[in-house]
Amino acid sequence: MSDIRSIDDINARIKSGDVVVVTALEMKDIVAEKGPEKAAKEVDVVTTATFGMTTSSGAFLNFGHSDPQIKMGGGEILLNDVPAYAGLGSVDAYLGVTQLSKAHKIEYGGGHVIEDLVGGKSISLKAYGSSTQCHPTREIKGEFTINDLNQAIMVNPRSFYQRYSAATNSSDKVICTYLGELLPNFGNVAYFSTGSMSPLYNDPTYETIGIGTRIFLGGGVGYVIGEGTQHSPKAMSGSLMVKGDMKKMKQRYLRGASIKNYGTALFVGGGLPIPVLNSNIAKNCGVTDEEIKVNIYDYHIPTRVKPLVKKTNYKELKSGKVVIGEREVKSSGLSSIKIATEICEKMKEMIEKGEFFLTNPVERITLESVTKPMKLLYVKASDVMSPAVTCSPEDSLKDVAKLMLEKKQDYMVAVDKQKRLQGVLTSWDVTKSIVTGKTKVKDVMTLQNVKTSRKDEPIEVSVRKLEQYGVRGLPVVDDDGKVLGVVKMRDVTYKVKG
Amino acid sequence: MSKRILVLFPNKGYKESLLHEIMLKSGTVFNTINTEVTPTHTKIMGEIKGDEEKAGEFMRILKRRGGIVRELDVMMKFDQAKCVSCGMCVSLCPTKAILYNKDFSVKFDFNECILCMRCVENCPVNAVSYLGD
Repeated sequence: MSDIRSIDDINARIKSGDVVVVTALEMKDIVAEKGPEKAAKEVDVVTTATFGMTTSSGAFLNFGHSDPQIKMGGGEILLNDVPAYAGLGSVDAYLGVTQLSKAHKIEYGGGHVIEDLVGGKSISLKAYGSSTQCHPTREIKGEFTINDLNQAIMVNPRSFYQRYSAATNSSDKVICTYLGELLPNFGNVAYFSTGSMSPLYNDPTYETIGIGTRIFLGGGVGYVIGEGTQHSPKAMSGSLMVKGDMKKMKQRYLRGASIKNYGTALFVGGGLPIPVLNSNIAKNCGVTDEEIKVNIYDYHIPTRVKPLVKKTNYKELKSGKVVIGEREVKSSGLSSIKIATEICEKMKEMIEKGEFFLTNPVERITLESVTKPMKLLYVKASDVMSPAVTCSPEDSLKDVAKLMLEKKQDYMVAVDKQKRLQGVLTSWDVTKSIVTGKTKVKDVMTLQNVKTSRKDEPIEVSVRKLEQYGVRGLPVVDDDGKVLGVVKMRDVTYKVKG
Repeated sequence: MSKRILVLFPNKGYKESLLHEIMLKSGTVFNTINTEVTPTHTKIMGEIKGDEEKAGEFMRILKRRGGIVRELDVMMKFDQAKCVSCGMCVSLCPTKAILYNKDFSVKFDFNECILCMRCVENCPVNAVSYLGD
């Protein structure tokens, strides 16, 4: 696609006051009405933004040297009672937003210290170091404000995170998650992101975003410094690492957060200008809430892979109601569309006034990286399962009872010819058949809601299911429902006992 | 117009007929939402239906007859300046007390509130508080 203008052309227009800037939401209407070709001709820059709760954020702080000097590096640093990472030079620290205060726990954390710093409040410093010949002081106490620091540089390893899943809860108990409280029996749906206003949805191929892209960060100016952690652009789940001078930031756009029974975080306001260099970029900026798909998962299952409840999109989520099965469930976000809209407007104004110029990235963001799960040594269901003793639902109970005695089994799995799970049969079911006079397996076996396990399921999860549902065993099935084995409490205790 | 209040009667100051009597006198309707009876007090949450003047009269008589009256829109405090409009409270609210405005800011109507406290307990920036009873 040939470009119709360059970033330098845009900057020249910013300088002359002729630049045409629109917000992400305005651009959607323009593209829908006039098409991408015409939109690209008319618009120079689109402002996109997000204001969401972030956990991978923090700041590098330099305190200056004490007299006599202290080597806090390798020691311990507390800022308003919140520990900061001290494994750096003698008076440097990195304060992460999820770090909890030693005394106040989740009521106050690193995110709150950052908000207080930016708000101009005085912060207490306590530090302990090892006494060396050149740095003899062991312990210091002090008070400082952001102006007393040599540097306060925000560096967020994961920012502008593109894709989040939404959450709900099918169980009969309230659960507390990083998306807040999830009420029982599909009581609510919680989601993140501002959807189609969110920066990376507007340039999903990173045509204009790269290392060195100037952005709006926390009310000041920041820069993209590379791909973010968990950057996975192929899955439309990109992220950026960003930095900015915290001394120029504003409290309105950086707010400490406490999430009940979960921890602390920081709401970060971030804005990204997208230069409309060609009609393809204009087309991408036309993306709508309806086009952005979101999966709603059931968070009552604590495994990484959770059951999918519904495939939806941001249009439905933002409407405040999501239809799950027969019912309408209230939905609300944890990213502020209100403040993100404000940031889009603010950036637009800054660019129009000539206070904010665009930059040419010096390097592209990778499009290849893929996020892998953690590699852990854990016991899986397949490690402890025993071979399933199977029968057919059509078998006579007498034959099966004989087989159970022969094989010393009190738990049988009924399968079809393809070895797919049909039901389970316990010795209790056989006992019942004597009373009821039933003769076939299919008449007495448990058919519905058979609890199952998967072969790579952590054994802790299988044990929880065995306890929770009071069942004797869990058939281990693959994606096609084929039975691979059975996990029984006895298998687990044998394994643990060695 | 409706107005939600919480009435506390210490000890045995409350009789069933009292509310009906006051309703008649003030010309209002009072719908009880929840009653809590303990050895030390009776606590009633309800909604006064009627214009402002009559609701005021209802509360005045209640106070005269020994009730401690708290208005929900005074007891629950929403600090707009602290709110970041994240909306976490919106889907947690069991009634229509918390809704989004068109611009996705959050609005509270404490006359719809049932004091479930979910918003107070969950607000990540402590923008909602309960001033106690």
